[in-house]
Amino acid sequence: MFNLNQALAAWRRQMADAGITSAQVLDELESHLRDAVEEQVRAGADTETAFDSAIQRLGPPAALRAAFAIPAVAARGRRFWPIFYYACAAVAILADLATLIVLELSAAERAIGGCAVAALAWYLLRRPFLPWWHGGLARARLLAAMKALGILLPLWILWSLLTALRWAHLDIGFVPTLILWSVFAAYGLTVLACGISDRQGSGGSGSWLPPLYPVPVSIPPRRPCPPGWAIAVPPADSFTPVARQALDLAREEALRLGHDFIGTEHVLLGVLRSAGDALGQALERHQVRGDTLRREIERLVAPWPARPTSFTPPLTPRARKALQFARAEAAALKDPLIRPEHVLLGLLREGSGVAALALRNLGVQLKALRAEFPAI
Amino acid sequence: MYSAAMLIKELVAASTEPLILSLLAQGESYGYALIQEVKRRSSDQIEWTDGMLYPVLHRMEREGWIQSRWAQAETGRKRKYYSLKRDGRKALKEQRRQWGTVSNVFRQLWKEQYV
Repeated sequence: MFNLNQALAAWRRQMADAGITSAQVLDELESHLRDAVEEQVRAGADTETAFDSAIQRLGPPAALRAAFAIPAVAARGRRFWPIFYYACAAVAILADLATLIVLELSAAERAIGGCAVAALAWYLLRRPFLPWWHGGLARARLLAAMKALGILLPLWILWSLLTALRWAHLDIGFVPTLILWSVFAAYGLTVLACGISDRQGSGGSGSWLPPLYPVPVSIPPRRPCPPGWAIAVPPADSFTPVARQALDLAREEALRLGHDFIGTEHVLLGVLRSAGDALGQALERHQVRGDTLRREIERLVAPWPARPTSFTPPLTPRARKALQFARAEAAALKDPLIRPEHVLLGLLREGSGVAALALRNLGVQLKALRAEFPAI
Repeated sequence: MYSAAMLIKELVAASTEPLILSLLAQGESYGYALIQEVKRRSSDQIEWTDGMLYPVLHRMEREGWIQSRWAQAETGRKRKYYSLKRDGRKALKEQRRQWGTVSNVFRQLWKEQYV
């Protein structure tokens, strides 16, 4: 007759032989086995079969032992390094402050030195909370800049050494030295912080899996689905050839920016690229240059890796609305066809899209722009 | 190690910790119940090899994400119950952000197929 308790005792000895000796762990696994057996018996199995299958499902003892041996990401390290960082930051700031107070200085020197110390303190204490620190393009740029700066580091150390040994004496005055030291401290501590956060993975999530290839943090905003998507796009033959070309270029811009929709921003970029001299000059009279506008748009939306060109993204509701406004603008100017400048006015009139935002940010106003394009 | 023909091994491994954190966020639980709950919620698509859950739980406890206590179950037997700690909630939040990012990208990419 099968005895569950005896079977469990035998199983515990087997596990102990395989290297799982902790009574706590064995208790827990035994509790699991009892639960599993109970449930299967309730479902109609006999105890022995239930026990065998429960053991099976637990996995081979050797694999279990190996799994228990995987270490946790050092929990203490996660606390230690931030504390270490702040301790170093405090030392750097206090050392700066102390020299500032101890040395005999003029009021102007004190003021400039104080500013340097304040800037250093702001940077060191605020850095972990700056949004760009936690990933994205800015962080990549920072790392690149630090690599470049790293070349200067040996020079700095060499110079300090020579000064300390009194072989070289370069008197650049107190304030420049203080500023240099502050920059040096900020640099060193940023390197330290980068090292710490790389060790821990972003956000310290501490998975035992190798980190995935970094995922871009910002995601283009999700656009609402119908009913906005039902707004009709004016038929192709209601545009002038140049305006049609502008829409083709809008598609190209969307794909170049890796977006899966054609929004007002892409239409605006398309208009800019296809625009004739008249439109370009009109915009320049409003102090808008093509490249500034492009930069402003790329600041507002997150560019993604470019996409293959075979696919035509849909026009967003706002872009559709803007094209309807463009038609209205053309009609108001008694123009039979929609010209690029009408599209531009439509984009501005739509008012809430990225294009309108970018144009407004650059100081373009609908009324003023409208006056540029008199009725025929 | 993990049942094939369901989810791929790597995906199961990567989702184990966030799943445990999410389950424990709903309240204290023990190993066997966690396994059953995941199986039920995934319609048997995610099936952990039972034994492999416990090393993960212990590691998460050492990380300081969860805590455990032995308690008498209604059946009179002892069971080890786990519950979320403050660091665990933080880890869960971060995991949610990361999985949200991945799922968002997929949603965008797969949307293209029907527009």
